[in-house]
Amino acid sequence: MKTNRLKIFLFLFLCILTGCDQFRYHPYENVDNIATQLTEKNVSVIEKNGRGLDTIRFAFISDTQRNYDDTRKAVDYLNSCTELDFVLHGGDLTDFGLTEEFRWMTKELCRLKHPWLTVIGNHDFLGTGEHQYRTIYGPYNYSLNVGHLHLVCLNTNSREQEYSIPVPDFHFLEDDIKEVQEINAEHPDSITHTVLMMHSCPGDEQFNNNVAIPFMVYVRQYPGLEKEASVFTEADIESWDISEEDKKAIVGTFRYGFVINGHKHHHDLIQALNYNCLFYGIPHIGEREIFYFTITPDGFTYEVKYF
Amino acid sequence: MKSNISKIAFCHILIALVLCCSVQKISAQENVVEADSIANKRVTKYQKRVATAREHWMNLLPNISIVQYAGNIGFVSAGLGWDYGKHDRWETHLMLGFLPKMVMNDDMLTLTIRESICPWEVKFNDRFSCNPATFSLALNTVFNDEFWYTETERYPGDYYRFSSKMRIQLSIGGQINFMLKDNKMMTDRLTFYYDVSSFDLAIISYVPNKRLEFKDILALGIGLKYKFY
Repeated sequence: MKTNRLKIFLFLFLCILTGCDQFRYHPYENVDNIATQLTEKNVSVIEKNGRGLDTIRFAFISDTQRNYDDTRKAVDYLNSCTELDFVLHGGDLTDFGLTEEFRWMTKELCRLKHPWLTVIGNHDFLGTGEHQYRTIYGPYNYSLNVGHLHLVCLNTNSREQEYSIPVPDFHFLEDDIKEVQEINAEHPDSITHTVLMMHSCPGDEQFNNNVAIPFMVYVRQYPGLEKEASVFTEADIESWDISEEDKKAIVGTFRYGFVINGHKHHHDLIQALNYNCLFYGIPHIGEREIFYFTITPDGFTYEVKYF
Repeated sequence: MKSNISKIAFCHILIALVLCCSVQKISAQENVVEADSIANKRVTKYQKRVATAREHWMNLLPNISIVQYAGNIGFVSAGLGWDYGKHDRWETHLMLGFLPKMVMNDDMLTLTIRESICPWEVKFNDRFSCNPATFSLALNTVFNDEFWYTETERYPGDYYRFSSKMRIQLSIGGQINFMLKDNKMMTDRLTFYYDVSSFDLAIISYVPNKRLEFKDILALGIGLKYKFY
């Protein structure tokens, strides 16, 4: 009787053990069973879909760390938008750089029906997060061409890395600018707009502000951000459905190129260092704002959508 | 090169742990013989004092050897432990864990100190028994340059407000015990245990998010304990 009870107990025990995949080795273990090289996969989809597009629509969210409920609502909202070519995420997928956080957030974002891209945020660097990011998403700096739009995604979290690793990476910028100029030399005016996505912008405590001006000098070589590029006037943006403050910030800024960034956790439109290039800083996902951009051949429009 | 050194260090520590436990066993036997001889002869005050002192020092020696798989403290961990309190139900474990390079990064070593209690015991027969519930609290640290206890000087004050190096773990588990020898003086006990744990940062993430399932923040570990009496 007693041995029977023991056998049943042992059997149940082994059933419990074998029945689940809950074995975890460490909060900061590096795994490859979440997803691999999502950036590369999505870039190829976006480039393929964007070939020959005149009007390009994309949404921007950022700083979704430790807010899975609001992220899910944002994803549901974005899935209900039919007129959308891709979604951009401005970094800070995790709060502590934990492997499980990457798993949860990647699972949420993979529910998006639209292709999506992300850059690395300062929180994603914590612990072994940077390695986990590289495994799941891929390179920290990359760029792609969507129709006439050149999209550049940059790692700007200088404070997280030793100075032996260049952040922002000017070698990357130089090569990228050269590449775009070569394309434009071959097929004139094939790339007219540039959007840069980064986590922290010049002036932030996370940015290497020692190189803020050189950085702007480099950025200003992209098509649409060159000096002679035309700027928005009050009449241009009169009909836009945005707040008066936003309108005031947008007047006098380039109409063919801009920068989107996260990190600050509040709504913030600034002309960094008084260049005419506008930095669209989005609040964290808990504020339930989505920036919605429509790139057209003669400029772009900007909307804030609440979900 | 760096990972090689850590592997060698890990092997050395493992050997040291095994040696430590075997030495402990031999000295435990000696102690029994000595106690007998003291009983036979006239016991002086001095001898008594020495015996008590020795007994106290003996208590400092660990009497549990542990090997664990997973459980958020390394791929495989080995360590030693002490038991005390009523029916030896309280235990303190000191574990060294090894986390091999899986995708990126280097091999990592972790160190865990764990305090556990098993308040109930169910006896099946002379040899088998089980503790249906064990509760433990563990502190876990990792030896790696990328982690810090307090924010390094590269950050302005109060930047992240947590420590990436020190994890606090809470766990509930159970164990099955098997007595190996059954002569009255010496009884070794082999224990198989499991341990369902969660840690501070996972709990912080779980609380405000309805979307996360409870199982998402749990980690399972299993292990063997060998207890010398």
